[in-house]
Amino acid sequence: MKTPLILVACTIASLAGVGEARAFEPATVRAFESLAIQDGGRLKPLATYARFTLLRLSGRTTVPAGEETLSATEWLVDCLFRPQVAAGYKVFLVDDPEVMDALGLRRTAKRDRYSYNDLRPARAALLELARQYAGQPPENREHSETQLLRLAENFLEYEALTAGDGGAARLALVPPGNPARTDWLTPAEALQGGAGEEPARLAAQFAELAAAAEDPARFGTAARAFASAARTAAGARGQDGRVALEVWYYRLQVLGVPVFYGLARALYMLAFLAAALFWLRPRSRATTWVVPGLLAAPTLILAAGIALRCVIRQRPPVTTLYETILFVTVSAVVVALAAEWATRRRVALSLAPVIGALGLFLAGKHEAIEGVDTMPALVAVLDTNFWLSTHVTTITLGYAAGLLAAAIAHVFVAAKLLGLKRDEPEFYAAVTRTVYGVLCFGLLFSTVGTVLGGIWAAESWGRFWGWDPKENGALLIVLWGLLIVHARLGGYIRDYGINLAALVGGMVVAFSWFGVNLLGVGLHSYGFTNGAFTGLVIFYGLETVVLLAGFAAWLWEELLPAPVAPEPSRADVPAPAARMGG
Amino acid sequence: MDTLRTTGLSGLSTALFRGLASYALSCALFFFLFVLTLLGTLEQIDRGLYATQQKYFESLWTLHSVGPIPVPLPGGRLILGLLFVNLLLGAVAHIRRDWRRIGILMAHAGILLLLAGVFVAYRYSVDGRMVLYEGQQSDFFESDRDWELVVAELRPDGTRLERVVPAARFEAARDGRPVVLAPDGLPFEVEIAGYGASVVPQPAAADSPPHARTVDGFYLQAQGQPDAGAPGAFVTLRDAGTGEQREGIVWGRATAPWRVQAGGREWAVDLRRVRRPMPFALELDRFHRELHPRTDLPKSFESEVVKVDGATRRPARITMNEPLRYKGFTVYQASWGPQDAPPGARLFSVLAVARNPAERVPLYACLIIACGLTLHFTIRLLRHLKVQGSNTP
Repeated sequence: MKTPLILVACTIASLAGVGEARAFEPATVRAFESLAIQDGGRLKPLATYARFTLLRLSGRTTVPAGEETLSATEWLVDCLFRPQVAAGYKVFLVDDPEVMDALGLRRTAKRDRYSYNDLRPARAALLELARQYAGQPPENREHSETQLLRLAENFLEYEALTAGDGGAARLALVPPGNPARTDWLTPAEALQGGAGEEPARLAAQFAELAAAAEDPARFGTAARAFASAARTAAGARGQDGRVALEVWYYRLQVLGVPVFYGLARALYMLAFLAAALFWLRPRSRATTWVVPGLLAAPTLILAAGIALRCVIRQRPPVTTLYETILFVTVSAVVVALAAEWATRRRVALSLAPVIGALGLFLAGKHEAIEGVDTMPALVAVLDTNFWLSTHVTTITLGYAAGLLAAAIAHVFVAAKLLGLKRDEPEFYAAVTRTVYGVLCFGLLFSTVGTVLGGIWAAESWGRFWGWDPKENGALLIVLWGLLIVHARLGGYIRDYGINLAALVGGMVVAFSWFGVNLLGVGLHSYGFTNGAFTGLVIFYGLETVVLLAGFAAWLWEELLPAPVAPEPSRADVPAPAARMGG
Repeated sequence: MDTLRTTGLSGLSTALFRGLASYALSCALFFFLFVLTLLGTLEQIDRGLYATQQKYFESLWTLHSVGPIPVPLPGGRLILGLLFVNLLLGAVAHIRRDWRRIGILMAHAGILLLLAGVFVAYRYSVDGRMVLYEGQQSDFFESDRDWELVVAELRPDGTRLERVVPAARFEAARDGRPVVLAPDGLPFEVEIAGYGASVVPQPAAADSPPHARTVDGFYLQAQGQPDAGAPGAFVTLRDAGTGEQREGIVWGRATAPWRVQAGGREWAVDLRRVRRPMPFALELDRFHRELHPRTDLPKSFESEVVKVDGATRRPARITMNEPLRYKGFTVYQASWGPQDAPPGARLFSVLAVARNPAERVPLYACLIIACGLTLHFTIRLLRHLKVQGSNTP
């Protein structure tokens, strides 16, 4: 009795163009995934191209289509070869409801994804408004205007992909015939005279592929044949080395969760749960190995991911803002584990998974907001593995340490506010020692990193220091660290002072890491990103609250009658005029 | 404070010494430099780098407005100078015969070295740029920021005799307060008026400012942003004998100098960047620019040059991150142009030139600081672990 209903449903669905999501076999999709395409100046798998195009349009790396979920490559193949089906997929993310209103379209929710079919009626209005807004300087645009402009760009890009030629005019899939040339060709370009025999042959094969789009079996065979021929041509140029590795990096999944880095994030959260549970059973001996054990897996995944990226790109680990997030996260976790080993208070140990999870969350958000390939080709001034591995790595380690110190200082403030361990002043002294130790570690790397940056600038631009915002940001971190160290040596700050100063230090790191990029000036400017600005504002707001709360706790303690001074703390960290609990 | 060795100084001197060597001063200096750097970064958005640099970092003191209230702040020069003194005296004051302090001493010595190097660079270095098309040769480079007025006599035999006046001599010239110069050997005096550091000559029209001085139908429109315009001024050549005058405009971005006849001779008057001579010449043989394929992202760019020193000619390569060093000068590949050149167009290479006697100092300082800090923190960490170890039951 159900079958006729299902048949009817499928027929209706297929007529609507939504039901036949999985028209292509896995082997066919695989063939497309590993196709090498030259985009943004480098060779990458088509899977990466698809992933970031989809991310830019939709904020996700998959597309829901009826009951199924399509991968980015499956979506791209549909765009290229079955545009009428693709037009029904809801891939255009519209964040700001005003945009839909401006276009005169009905909106389903404040923030939602729409399909090409949904947006097409307003095409003329969209392009006209975009033209107007593009004429204004970026600083003067409203948020909804910037969003509309982005939507128009995405819309046009989508139209170029769904032009019906299978991407022949758009995707540089054909290696050039001449071994000395570096520019790859689109199939359309390869068919033109002068491109050479090999490229023309490949292009003809691609045209056959496009023609076979309606027949899944023929299409599959043609796709695999084209992929194989393209791979051979690339291999003959020695250029297909790491494409497969990159496909694997992005595709690796466990239970549908990407290993890099969704799985790592989930494991960090699991480790944090365990750490939290163990706080309820502090005497348990299992803490020494359970939580570190649970931390090992995600940290190894993160480290492996970073190492894989190095191999894929043939570059040191940190070359873009996205990679700084990954590196800061893994460094902060490792330093936290080292701090735990040196202090054994389970404070750093419990913070490590929080930092890991937050860092990976930030990385994911950054990737989605930017919507560009996170393994781009490097511009000339960055084309130096020496300075990338020395200056950038040390500065990033400095960021990690500064943020970790701030994180541990949160524990100090929280514990004081909650009145924890009042009978154990040694706890607070130990936390302060940890914060101070991490700060000093950070100061070493920040100072050396900043000077290295100056030397690099001198080698590239002929001047050691130019008071560029990014340079200034690094200097601010160094100065703040120096201020804390010398204030402690001079006896002007003790435990509260160190911890609160470390909190401010975290804000200084955030300013240097992300804030200076938003200013729009200087050699390191990346332009204004709304997402980053909002994030920074929220962060500064929260930290200010914590700072004020910590300050209030200090005042409260000052106003109370002085407790009976217990045993002086170890001579290890004496300030010249130390006074317990001050 | 740690124990100071008594030096037999009087009470006031000791107090001064202790103050200058104190942690309190260090903290104050770090704090003020922090504030200056923060303000200097934020203000760059509106005022541009050069103006901000002058205001905060190259001054002895400055005023910062918090809303309507001006707050005086020490300037970068004062702070760095005091920091040097503080470091030096602080090391003397706090020295302890303790081998465990060696790391910190090294780190501070490194910073002293760095500050000294920065000072030497600030006082004694010269830098600028050289723009060369392929086949061109030059034995001078142009300053980035300093300008000069050139009054050149164009002789019938094709040579030129230039008289050069640095901009500092006439920067104060504004309308109503002209600067008059009478360089030797000139049949006229030179009056400079209406000088602006960032101006663009505009044709006088119905909507131009009514009282603006115009010459040849142009007035000098001041620009808000420091880089939007170039220096410009009105120049009047006044014959000493007859009182006859010729008026013209000089402008930093003019495509040609102001040609004028005066005193029976022909002159070219121009406002240009100060030229600094080099003891050798550079000739641009070839300039390569490689973009990442199918993009306009620069992948690499390099200049193949020839060092011309007297009779010797030696080839060399200058590329990003790999400068040329010769006779105390360092030449860098800075950029190229025109930026929007179509393929096959004639490109020029922009080389940055610098002579900095303290060029290597930051590198040595960095190594010393790194070693010193690493040593110090390793020693401390080991001590801490030892103490920790004897603590745990």
